[in-house]
Amino acid sequence: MFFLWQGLNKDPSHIPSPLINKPIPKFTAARLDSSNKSFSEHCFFGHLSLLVVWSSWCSHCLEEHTFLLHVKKKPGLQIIGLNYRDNLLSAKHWLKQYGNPYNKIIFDPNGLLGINLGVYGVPESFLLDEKGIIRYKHIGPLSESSWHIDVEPLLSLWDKGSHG
Amino acid sequence: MLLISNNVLLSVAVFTILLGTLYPLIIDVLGLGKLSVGAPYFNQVFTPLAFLILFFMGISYLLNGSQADKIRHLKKSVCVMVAAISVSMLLLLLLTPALQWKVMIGLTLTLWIILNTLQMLWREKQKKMTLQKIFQTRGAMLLAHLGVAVSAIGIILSSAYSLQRDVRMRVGDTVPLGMYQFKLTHVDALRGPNYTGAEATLQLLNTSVSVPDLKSQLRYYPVSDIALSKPAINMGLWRDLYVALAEPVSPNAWAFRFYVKPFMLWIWMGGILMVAGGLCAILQTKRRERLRQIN
Amino acid sequence: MGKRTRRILIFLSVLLSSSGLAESTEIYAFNSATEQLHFQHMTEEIRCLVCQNQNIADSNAPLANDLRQIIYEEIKKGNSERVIKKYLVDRYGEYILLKPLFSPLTYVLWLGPFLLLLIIVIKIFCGMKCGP
Repeated sequence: MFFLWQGLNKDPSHIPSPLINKPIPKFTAARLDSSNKSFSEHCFFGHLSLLVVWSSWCSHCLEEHTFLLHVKKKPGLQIIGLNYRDNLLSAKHWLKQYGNPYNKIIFDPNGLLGINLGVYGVPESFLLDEKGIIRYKHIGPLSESSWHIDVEPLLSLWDKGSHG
Repeated sequence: MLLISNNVLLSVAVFTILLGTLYPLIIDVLGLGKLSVGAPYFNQVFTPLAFLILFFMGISYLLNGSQADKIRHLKKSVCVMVAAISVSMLLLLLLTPALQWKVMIGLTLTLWIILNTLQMLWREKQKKMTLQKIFQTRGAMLLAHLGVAVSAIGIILSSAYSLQRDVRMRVGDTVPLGMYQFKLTHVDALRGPNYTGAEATLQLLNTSVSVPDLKSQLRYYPVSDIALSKPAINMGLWRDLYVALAEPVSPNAWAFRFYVKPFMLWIWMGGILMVAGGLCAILQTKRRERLRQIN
Repeated sequence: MGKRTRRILIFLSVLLSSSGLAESTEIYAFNSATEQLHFQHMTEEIRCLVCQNQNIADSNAPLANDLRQIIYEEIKKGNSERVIKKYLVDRYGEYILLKPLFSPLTYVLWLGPFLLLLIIVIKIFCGMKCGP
């Protein structure tokens, strides 16, 4: 009975990622802004990164969009978008319409990089440290509250670590 | 001991279902991670238990009678087992491409139950009992056990010999599966109250029995942005045919899934027999009570 | 796939469905029946993560399609079931396996039923022999 009761508090759609504390997998992927240049795992080295998986057809992504535009203003944190299983024109149009909070955007129309990251839905986000190691995965749209509760404690922990 | 063997086995089976269902929850609440327990687990653990249950069901007729009777029946049962093994091996070798041992054991055990049941009937007949009398006293057991055997045959054969194909078809294409040939004759636009989509009509070629055209729909619900497939199912005594229209793969070709599942209906028929057996048991109990009251 | 794209594709397909001459093709074509069975078996053991309670063999979800495609390609490369499962577990965790791995975490799950049976049988035997 105890387990059943406790089970009510568990969210069945939150699957823990086995990639936590592992480096981002090696990859080569297209850029949203230019078709003849590409990105690799190197774009995650040297900065604290927030990798946001989004699509223009995903309604929840719009929810977290305003929040991301606000978070963009935090110093030292780069926001990298992963445009997942989307149409190039629709994605570009969406950004033009709603704004662009991303420093860089990876274009992943077939979801291949997504699968390598264990992405199963949109939106999902990852927090990576300067060495490109995945430290945290967030399922669902990011918001002010989830940022305060889940992400900021981690960021301040690392801040202390790097200054201590 | 024999009397409760199946009770014990069935209780363990029920416990297994509970364990398998609650295990992911327990592990999650204990913070040990998230894992899934699905059909493959249940199939793997259930199968040996089911075999044991079938085996003990076959011997259940040995339970009454004197010690001498029991020994005689035991000898007969050994003969029955040998017969069951031989018949099932023969059937499988002749009619199937390769002998699968799980199917062999399963089929042997169901034949074991059926032959033992027939043997019991024969014994009762030899005691000069009329069929009606036999039915009144042993009818429930007969029906229930036969029901289990029939369902078991359905489960074993449909899971071992099902055929499946995922293909691309254009109108006019024919797809063979097993001894059947499915031809896509036409695809029409579909409009419903809250959905649009397509309906595919397929014809079965070269059949001895006339089968009505199979119609499968793909319904697209714009509000939830979901495309659902509504399959066409043709149920027959020896096999079920299943055709599902899936998403279009190119502007003039569609993806289809076909299933031919042998003996599928037997699972249901066996169930009906078991229910009949249960009702018979209730009637039997009532009858015994009435007789006791009269005496 | 966007809403409009889906609608258009279904509409076009109905419109253009006229007689075809060439043979229809398998969606997942294999060189041998063993590979085909292998594929079927594997897809029945992998969970569809975006569905309520389905395996990827039965699901039409985009993620299920993607995972089926990956399993298809891995089988064609000749990779074994263990290698493919490890590939998926490395990315999605053990949750994606409908048949739990046999590990210390699942000893109770896999051995429980048989241990229970053994305990009951032993108890009954003891009851019969050591009884009054």
